[in-house]
Amino acid sequence: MLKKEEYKKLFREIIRIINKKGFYGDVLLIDSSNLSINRDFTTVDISNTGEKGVKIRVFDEKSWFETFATDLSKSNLIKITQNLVKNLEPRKGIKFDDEPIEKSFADRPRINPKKIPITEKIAVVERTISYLKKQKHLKNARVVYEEDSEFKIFCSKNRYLTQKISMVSITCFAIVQDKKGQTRYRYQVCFEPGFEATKNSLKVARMAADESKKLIYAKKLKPGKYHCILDPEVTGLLAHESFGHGMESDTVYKDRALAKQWKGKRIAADFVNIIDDPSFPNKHGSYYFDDEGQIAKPTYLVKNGVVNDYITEMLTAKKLGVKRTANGRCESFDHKIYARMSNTFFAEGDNDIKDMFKKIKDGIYLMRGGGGMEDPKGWGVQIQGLFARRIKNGKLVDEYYDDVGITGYLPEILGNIKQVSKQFDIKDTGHCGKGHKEWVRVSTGGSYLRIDNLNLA
Amino acid sequence: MKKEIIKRLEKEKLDFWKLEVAEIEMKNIYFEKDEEESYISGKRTDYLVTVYKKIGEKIGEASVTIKEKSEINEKIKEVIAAAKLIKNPYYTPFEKYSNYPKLKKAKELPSYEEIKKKVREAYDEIKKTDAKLNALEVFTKKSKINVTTSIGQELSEEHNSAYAECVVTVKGKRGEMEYVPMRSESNLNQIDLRSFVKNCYINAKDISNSTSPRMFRGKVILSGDALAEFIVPTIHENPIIIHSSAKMKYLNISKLELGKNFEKIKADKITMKSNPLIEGGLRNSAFDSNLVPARELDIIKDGVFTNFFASKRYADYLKIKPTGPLGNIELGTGKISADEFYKDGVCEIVGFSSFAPNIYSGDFTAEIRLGYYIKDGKKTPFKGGMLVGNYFKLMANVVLSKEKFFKSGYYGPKAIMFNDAVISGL
Repeated sequence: MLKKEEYKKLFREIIRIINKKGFYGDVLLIDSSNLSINRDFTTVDISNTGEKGVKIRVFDEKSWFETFATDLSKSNLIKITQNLVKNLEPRKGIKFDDEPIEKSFADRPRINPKKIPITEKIAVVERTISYLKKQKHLKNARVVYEEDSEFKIFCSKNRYLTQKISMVSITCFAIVQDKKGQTRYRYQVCFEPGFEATKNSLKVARMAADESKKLIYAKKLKPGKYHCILDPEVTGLLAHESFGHGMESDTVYKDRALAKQWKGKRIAADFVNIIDDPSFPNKHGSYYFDDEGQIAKPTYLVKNGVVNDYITEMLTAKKLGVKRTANGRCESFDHKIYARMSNTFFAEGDNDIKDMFKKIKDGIYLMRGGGGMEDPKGWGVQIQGLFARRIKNGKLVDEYYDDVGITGYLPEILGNIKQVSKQFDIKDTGHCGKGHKEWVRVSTGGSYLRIDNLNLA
Repeated sequence: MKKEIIKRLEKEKLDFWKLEVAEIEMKNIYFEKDEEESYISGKRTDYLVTVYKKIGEKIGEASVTIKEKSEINEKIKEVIAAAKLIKNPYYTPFEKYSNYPKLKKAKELPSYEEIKKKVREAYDEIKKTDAKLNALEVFTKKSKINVTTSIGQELSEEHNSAYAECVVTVKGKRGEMEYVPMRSESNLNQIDLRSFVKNCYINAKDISNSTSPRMFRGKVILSGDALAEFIVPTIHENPIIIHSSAKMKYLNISKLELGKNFEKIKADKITMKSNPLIEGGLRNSAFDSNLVPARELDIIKDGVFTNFFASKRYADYLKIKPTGPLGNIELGTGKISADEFYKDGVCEIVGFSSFAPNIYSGDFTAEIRLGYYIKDGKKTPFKGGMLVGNYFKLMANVVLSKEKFFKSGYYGPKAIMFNDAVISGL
């Protein structure tokens, strides 16, 4: 195993080989690990998996040529770099330039999970499942402790960056049988950079168990239009799936995004702001620099109700002539880098959530993230798997609905946002695909929204 | 590195251990508009060790990835310590089996030039139309899986796979619209890129001339991408397959009971089987991760739940035979032609945005990327709205076509028709 300084020397040498032929090039090392303890009522599984590899890219002023390897010996990495550039000649086209930066970043979790013995991690999971076992209404339950670490080195002619990210989550699934004999579940998650995430494990278990009781009597919602309050997990999904994907520069470049026609135009009331922010501290979608060495900063996708900046990676930002943002991300060293979201959310508004509920005579409170799929060209909205509760005369009543979906035309939905809450919460963990592949970690959350005439099914 | 890991594992007093080595080679090409955007090629090797420790009547088990030679000792020490802390009900991880099916050796990956030529041909195909091929991604992969266990078994198998995804946009009455299909098969020759993009063009054209759906309740046909996605969803298995797993039964989650109908049957009695041994099948394999040999397995036969698919662990827990790996999903065909489905007042769905049912309850809401109303023998396209329902209930009231079709691990009727389905309109 090479030491940190040896990597630096080796990666600089690789860049010299690439630069010598007149190309821009970069090297990305990814070393990731995931410790998972997965417990149900009868069994427990434990695994510590991960990967370590290097991506080497060369840009011939038109296209990227890339290779990757898990054999990180100096001889192999030099050989594959030489092979990569061997038959390439620079073509006149796009040139990349970057400001020199050399910096190291690292998360500082309150309780470093690496210093906690495995016995203590298992004990947390056992305590949590014991609580859930006592809940008589549950058919089964699952407690998942996950501890992720991600170490990256980025090296180009002008940049040498390292980052170390730490993530711990505890997720509780409560599984019940409803009155019709169908199996249903709810889950709750607590996420923090360190082992401090586990302090709330019993609270998270209680919330999942309590909510799952409601599923037993939950009904199917009659399809139709409803006045709604959306909780932060659902608004996060709306910001991400329905809007954010259409603001990815590669999607725009491929003429896949209706957002191109809306750029600079009003799509919502002026109190509506949607932000993508990888620099938001300690969230599941956070990082210090992207996989192309761009330092993380927030991007306003919608600013004061107007469609604003795209999120970008290097190449399509150049091709479109737009600002480079820190959103070039890949699933792994053997995957391509695309423009991807990070922490994407509706920013805080001025309203108190209690007042927002008061405005609804008869409506639906949509909660808990499900899933969704992008439709950047048609701006059709698909969000499914939500849990919902009836609102009557401004108050939540004991009428619950499971597996509710949102559909409709995005500009119409955003145009119907009537209020944004000042209460704000990003707590959930998630993974986002480009279509059905290229998974990267993201978060969901943000503010509550009040939206009129939302199409639910 | 493999030899060193085995040598280290053999030194330990373990009840069982397993080493899985995956060697993967890839060549991927990415086109944006008419330009080659990226080409990625390379090789990776991954090592996964699982150790088992018997503790009284219980068994402890833990897995670890070994990334580099220098960490072999440390990681094996860690994983053994972790396994000793686990007390699961006992099962026998490995037994000796014979009669493993033989899979064909994987072929060498096509060259960069060969893949690029096929991509160019696809672009030429689209140039004949009024559409734009805005992106085309073609991936090819060759993998070799080698598994060694503590009971002296060592098995290997090789696979090829190929993946294509394209974006075609075209202008119509509704403005410029897109269709974005994907296809996974066991090799690139099974994906004719020219017809792949041509079919995509036809669908994109219909979307560009589509209307918005109204609320509908009645007969709904599934065909093409929507049908393959419904039976073999991209993210999870379909709810019938999920409920037929021995693990789900053991966890008290499965609603299926052996020898009983999977749901109250109202139309064709479906037959659904797992087949990991189809000639050229995408989801073929000769053995599962406990080295249980692959075989065909009837899961639902004529509407009746016939077999759990079971890994060694959950088979032992339920005292049934392990079934080997889950493979391609075959749905039995019906007796009538798909042409007979297309009658007045029927809807057809050919593409979902995404089909992600609740795997426990089977409930789902799936947005429709492209569908058709059928009236006076004419098909009128629509886009949007959702097919809403319950997987079990819909599959219990379905008619199956006699013609066959395969796509991305699905083998079955060319079209199926739900007798009573709901589309929520806009």
